[in-house]
Amino acid sequence: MRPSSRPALLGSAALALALSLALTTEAAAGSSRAVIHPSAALSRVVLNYEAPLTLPDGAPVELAPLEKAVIAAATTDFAYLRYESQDDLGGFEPAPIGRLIATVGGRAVGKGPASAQLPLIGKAGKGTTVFGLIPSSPTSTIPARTPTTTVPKTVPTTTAPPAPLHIKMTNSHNAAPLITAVNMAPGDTASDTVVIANAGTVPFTVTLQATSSNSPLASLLQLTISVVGGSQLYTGPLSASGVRIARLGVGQSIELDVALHLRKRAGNEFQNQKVSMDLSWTGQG
Amino acid sequence: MISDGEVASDVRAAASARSRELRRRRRRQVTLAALLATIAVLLAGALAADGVRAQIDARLRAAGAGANSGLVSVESEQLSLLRAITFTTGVSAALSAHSSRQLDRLVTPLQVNSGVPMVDVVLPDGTVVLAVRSKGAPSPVATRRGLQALRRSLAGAHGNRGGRFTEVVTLQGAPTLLTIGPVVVGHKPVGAVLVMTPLADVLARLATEVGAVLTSYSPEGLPLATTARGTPPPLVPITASQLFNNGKVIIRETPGDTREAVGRLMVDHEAETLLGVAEPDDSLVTELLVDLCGLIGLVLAAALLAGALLLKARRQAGEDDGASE
Repeated sequence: MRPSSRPALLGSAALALALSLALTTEAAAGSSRAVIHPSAALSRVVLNYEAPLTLPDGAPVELAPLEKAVIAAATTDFAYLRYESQDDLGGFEPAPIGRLIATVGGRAVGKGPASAQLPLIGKAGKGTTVFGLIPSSPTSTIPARTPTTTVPKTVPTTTAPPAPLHIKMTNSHNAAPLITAVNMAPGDTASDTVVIANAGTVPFTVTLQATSSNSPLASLLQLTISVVGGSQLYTGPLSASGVRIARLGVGQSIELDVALHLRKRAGNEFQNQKVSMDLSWTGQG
Repeated sequence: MISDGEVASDVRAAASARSRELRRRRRRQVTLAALLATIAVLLAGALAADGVRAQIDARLRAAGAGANSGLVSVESEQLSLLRAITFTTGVSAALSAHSSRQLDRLVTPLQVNSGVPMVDVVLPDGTVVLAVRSKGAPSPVATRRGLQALRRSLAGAHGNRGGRFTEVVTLQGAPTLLTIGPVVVGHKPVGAVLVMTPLADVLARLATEVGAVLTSYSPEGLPLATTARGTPPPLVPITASQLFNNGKVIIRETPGDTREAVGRLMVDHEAETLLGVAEPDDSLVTELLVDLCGLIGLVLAAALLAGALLLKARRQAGEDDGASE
């Protein structure tokens, strides 16, 4: 090796060392960085309604036809995504609903049943036109319950002793297991229907009490009770008490859909585990 | 015997003592009034700050609800692209034949049209046959083997939802909103399509919609992705676990004078992560402004009162002088 090339070699070695140190530091910083921030390239929305879409190589985009089955799939997906309960909002509360108004020259125009949640206020025409939102009182958004006292009661006019009152409730499954789900995979749902009937002589209110055995699997199962073809009555953990189901008149019945859903985050550690649950239906006059 | 001069001296002394007592009493009253007024001003400031904080909290709760609603739109868009790919004529045949070129011809235009940044088309064993990425999206990988969602999607191909679902998964170290669905030939799944957006970019879009800083926390309380400039402090693990399981919302104060509401981020009607919604807390500024205005008002009122009293005293002195002459 020539003596003159030694400093250059040392310089190269130092440069390589510095570079490798820098890369190591960057890699270490990258590995310790747990929180991800948005990418400017993906977060920025650019709308272009004029230029035709092109492929990365510049060729014009051509779309192939869709199969007919996509219609049914889309319908299923939209039905599934539909808002079910406030639980879908993650515990957060929606902004109060208000009535939309618009005034021109101080006179109210377009005041109607339209409602919105946006805190909206705006002016146009040098202040002559104002549109905004009148907040409704919170109670006005709660649908009124059907009055239960409007049905006139028949006053007994005879002196005969009143017939004995008794509550008799039947359920279509009696003591037989309602749902037996084996080999459920995470994300699976098992369901069945049960009919609760008032076979007694007085109307009563049906409430449900659910108790589950002490198993870690219970925390991953979600119980949902809904009226067949109707509204959802309960969704939540397997243990619940005092869940109001319905008020049944004499001879009336209600068909309920009882579903058990195994959450998707259930891992392999829950394999071969069992959980049992009792559903008690109580009728109170 | 007491002279007239001595009597006059006693009367002057008594009058002077009464006057001193009056002045002392007035000073005590003025001090007490100033004290009460100061306390009232401080209380008014505190009440104003409470009002501002209550308004911020209500906004945060509404923004959290808006973010969860907005996420359904993102999910709907991803599902839309997924259906467009899985139900496009020729995709299942191309996947069965492992033809990347044919898939590229069919899938890439759909991805370009959708604006969803990441699409993978995979075989049942997880081998990636085609990966399409928007500019700036995370790089493709060769395989998705071991991804639980893939197994569940293929297993659920004949279920109610046809094996399509959305969840938050960690891919290449980054939380990602994944929508997955199988590609079926006859009754046999021949592969799956993965439609993905990094969760941080989903949050960035939702943050624009709701006008707040959004952070996703793991069920253990660790921040996963955020639109904040810095890194938000983690949640206490017990609190995070309770929030994740009970579905309640808490409000906390975070560094940099911000308030953050923490609830759940829902995907497919299920909690996937915790969601923090933050806004700057300007209640302290309001409190200081109210205090400052109140105190300035007090000082002005005191000055006016003092001026009026001085004027009255001077007028009284003038009248006394006139009477003695």
